[in-house]
Amino acid sequence: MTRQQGFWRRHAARLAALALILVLYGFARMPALTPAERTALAARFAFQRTALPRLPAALAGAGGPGHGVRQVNPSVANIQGWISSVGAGVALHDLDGDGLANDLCWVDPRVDRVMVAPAPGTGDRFPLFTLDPQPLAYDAATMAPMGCLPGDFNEDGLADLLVYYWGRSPVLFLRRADVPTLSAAAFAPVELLPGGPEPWYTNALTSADVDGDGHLDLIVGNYFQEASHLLDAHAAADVEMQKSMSHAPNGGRHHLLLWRRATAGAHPTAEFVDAPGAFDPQTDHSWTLAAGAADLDGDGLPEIYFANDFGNDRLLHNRSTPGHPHLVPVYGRRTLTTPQSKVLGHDSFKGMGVDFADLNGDGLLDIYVSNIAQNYALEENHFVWMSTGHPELMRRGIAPYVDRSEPLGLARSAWSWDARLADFDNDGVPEAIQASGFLRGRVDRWPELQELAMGNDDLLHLPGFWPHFRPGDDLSGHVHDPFFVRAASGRYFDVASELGLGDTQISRGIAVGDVDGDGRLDFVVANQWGDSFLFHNLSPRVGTFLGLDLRLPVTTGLDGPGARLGRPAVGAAATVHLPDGRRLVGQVDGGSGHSGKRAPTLHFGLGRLAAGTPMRVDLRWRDAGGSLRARTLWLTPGWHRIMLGDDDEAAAGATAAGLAEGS
Amino acid sequence: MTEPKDLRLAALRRFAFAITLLNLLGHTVLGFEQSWAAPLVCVATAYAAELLLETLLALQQGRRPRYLGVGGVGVVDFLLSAHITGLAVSMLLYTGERLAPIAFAAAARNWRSRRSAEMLPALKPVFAVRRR
Repeated sequence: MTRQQGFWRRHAARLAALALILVLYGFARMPALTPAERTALAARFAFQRTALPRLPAALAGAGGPGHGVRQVNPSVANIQGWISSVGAGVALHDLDGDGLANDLCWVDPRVDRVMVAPAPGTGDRFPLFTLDPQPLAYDAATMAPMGCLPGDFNEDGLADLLVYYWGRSPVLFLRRADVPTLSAAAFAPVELLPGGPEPWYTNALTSADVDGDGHLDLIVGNYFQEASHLLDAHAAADVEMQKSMSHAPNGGRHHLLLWRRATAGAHPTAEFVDAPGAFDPQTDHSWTLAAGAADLDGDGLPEIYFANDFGNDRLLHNRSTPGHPHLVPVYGRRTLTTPQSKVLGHDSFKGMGVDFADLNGDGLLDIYVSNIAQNYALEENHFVWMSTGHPELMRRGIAPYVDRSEPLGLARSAWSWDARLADFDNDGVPEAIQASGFLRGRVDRWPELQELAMGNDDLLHLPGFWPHFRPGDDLSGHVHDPFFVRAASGRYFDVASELGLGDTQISRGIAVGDVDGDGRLDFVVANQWGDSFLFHNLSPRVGTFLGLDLRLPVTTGLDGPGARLGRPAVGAAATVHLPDGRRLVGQVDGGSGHSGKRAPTLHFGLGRLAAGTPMRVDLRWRDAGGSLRARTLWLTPGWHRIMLGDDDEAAAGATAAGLAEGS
Repeated sequence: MTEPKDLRLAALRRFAFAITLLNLLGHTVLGFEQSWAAPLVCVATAYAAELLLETLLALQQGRRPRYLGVGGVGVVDFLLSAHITGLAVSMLLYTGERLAPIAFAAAARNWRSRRSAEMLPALKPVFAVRRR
């Protein structure tokens, strides 16, 4: 026996063990990009960042210069920072009727005011103004705005704004027909609830025609219980926190408000009626931070997704008839390799954002949900609920979705809120972005939070048992908003740092829209206790695009100033047939997400499709009478405003020439 | 007077029984987050690594592998250490639906037990218990 053979023989077992471990380590490694590949992925994008204006001193009033934390109920003074963690929100919309989604409505928590202004760089079309509920009841010491949902709630063709709060139920700011210039005076504050304000704590609000009557209904997810007196520094009653980190049954009541009637003019009205019992008991009291609505099974009625903190997310299959909402929870199915929380409807992850897009090219919308998924903090996963191609299973109570966040590379980023899927380089493949970060301070308090989460559920609802989360304490306070781009391998990679978007910020809402009409989607990020920013898309070498601004005829103010423009066709669905056989699908969004609201238009990246190439576009919508309609158009790349008339029937084969108006 | 070695083996058996029960309850009643596949993959990996390495060591040292029954220790007792390792790794680590990282962890953890065992063969069960 040679010496060499002896060596191998003596060490055979050790070497085998090492080899085994190395092989398994090889399989366990995460896919990564080389620096050159990252640079190449990022090179397709360029964004110019501009801060949104601050509240002018002239409008500050008695509120003073602003603050960095809220005054709270004495029972939650030890977690003042935690309680102060929400409020920033932003919406992109066409408020002045110039045909572009270049107007902003946003909430700046530093001053607790709702501001409306042109997006920076889009011209000084009107001066910044604020939305204040007076003469309606409002106490700035115990109430705070949480978000702004634009929409045409009285169907007069003039954009209205619905502001939701902590401490009171939402207020409709309906656009008056008699004030031509956009200003505070042009909006009439109207109580959303006809019986007067109620002490709601709303963090999720979106609009969709839930019962299929042809009019927009409102889906409201309240977070804390009513009458929590959360922001009342002199309250005697204690605040009740969540009764569990995973199955808390004590969130604020949820509401489905059905559109009843509306009027236009100098004193516009919009009447909604609460549909009690519209939601099952678990949904009704979940701690909701984001709500989304989209027709997932193609029956013309939107399903509802509630992304819930401290409990299961809920997907509700819509079986409503006009005036009679019928929403049934559906659940995913577990297999041998499915972790418990990756079964839709059975998760314990901290849902905080939701968006819809078709990621697997099967013509069905998939669902993107933000949770808390951060290394050295909490290793949940975000969700990408990918359709399995069997939407009919929803009628049997089954959610036909499986989570694909891990193979897509979207499973982890940070403590994340709004999630958005949008095609920023028009290559036909959506990018994924998230608003991230929680509480910025100097001392990392994750160990204390983990200790709290490990504690007994029966003590959790008592704020006295919580560790302090006050100014100076940090929870995921130094993270950036990821910008995920899909690589050739099919996996997404965060290239925010390479793009110059790697600054740390504490973000809540993301609004997406094309502010300058150049076909490149821009986005606005609403930040908590800091400046919010517009990210103007200046990406070089983008593909061609199809933009659809789908409108419906007005039902009120028929001879008013908004009649010509019509109202956004929220819920309308488009299928774009590309010459290579691919289908792109989208639906006009009525405000899905946490506190960011995208413009109610559709945008499809077309990649290398030559400008001028006609493509078939199938449109489906519900008219004001509640009937489903369809139309097929042949459109060329570019923006198109299309009035979906009541008079043209399910008109297959209608040509675009006379119907579509390019811009 | 009881032999110390007997006590250690009994402790190991009880530990293995307890952690098995905890995992069964965890995946049926207590709501463990991990997939059902996680404990199966971890335990299978730990068993395989333990059996493979013992086979190689026995060949190298020209002795009978212990899992064939040496000194009253049969294959079940031989695998107790790997069993505990596998279940502990699968219940303490969460890797989403990815199974490769926990298979790696189970194998690597198992090797650490074996290294201790090689150095102090008589104390192996003690190490296997203490180091967890």
